[in-house]
Amino acid sequence: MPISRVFTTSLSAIDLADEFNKLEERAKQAQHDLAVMSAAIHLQSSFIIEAKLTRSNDSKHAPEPIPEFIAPVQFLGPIKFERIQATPIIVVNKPPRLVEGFVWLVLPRKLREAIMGDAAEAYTQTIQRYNGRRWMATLDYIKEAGFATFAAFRMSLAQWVQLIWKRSS
Amino acid sequence: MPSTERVLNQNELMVMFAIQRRMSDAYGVSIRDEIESRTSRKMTFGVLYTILSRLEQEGMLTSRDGEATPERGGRAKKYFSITAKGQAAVNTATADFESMRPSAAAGLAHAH
Repeated sequence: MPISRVFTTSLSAIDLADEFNKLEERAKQAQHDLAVMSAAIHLQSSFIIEAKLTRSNDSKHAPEPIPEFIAPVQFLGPIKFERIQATPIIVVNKPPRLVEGFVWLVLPRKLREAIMGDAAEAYTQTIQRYNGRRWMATLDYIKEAGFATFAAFRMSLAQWVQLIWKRSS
Repeated sequence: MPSTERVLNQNELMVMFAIQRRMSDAYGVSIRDEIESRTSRKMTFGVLYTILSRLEQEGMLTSRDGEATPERGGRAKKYFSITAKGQAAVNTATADFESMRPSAAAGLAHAH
């Protein structure tokens, strides 16, 4: 409805009040929409999930395209949001397979699972810290793998020396 | 008479303190992050697991397998906790450091 109608003198006082109330209602609705969209954007940045807001097409004008929102909450209200089951998408960055394979071979079986898991978790953290620069995370991973391999070799060597010493004495 | 108890070195003590701080959430990455955030020392997993493995063999730590997560490539976490023997070693090492540390005034006097 064009706003200029509010200012025409042909409307009665009651009509004017009615128009004013409708405008106020629309302003409140717009404010609510803005709050919901802000919350959606905040959740999107927090959980790294795809966001899509859909709006029921009950106005004459076609709604502007708004990003889709997949969220663990249901938005109720005059604007009908689709209720979607939450499935947070967890970002997983996998270290290079070649290096992972080498590390798997050289680490002792007892510590293999724990060290490789930690290194993979640290890899994802490093990528996030360096704003997606995968090569820095890869270098870090290779460094960690190198030190872990060396440490594992030292531990094995120490155990062998101990074993030989016990047998000879 | 000198004690025959095993004395923890500085790195081992830091790892033990980190495990105490993290409580039930003490695994490789969290222990390393705790040390790095508080002391700005970077400890590689090689050094960390050497220490953890050694302390576990000596009976100062116990470990249990935790949940596997996608961020870890489906591999389980290994949580560590301090035993009574470990706690006694921590207390002894801390007390030793404190007893050796000169007072602030004495330190300044020596410096000048």
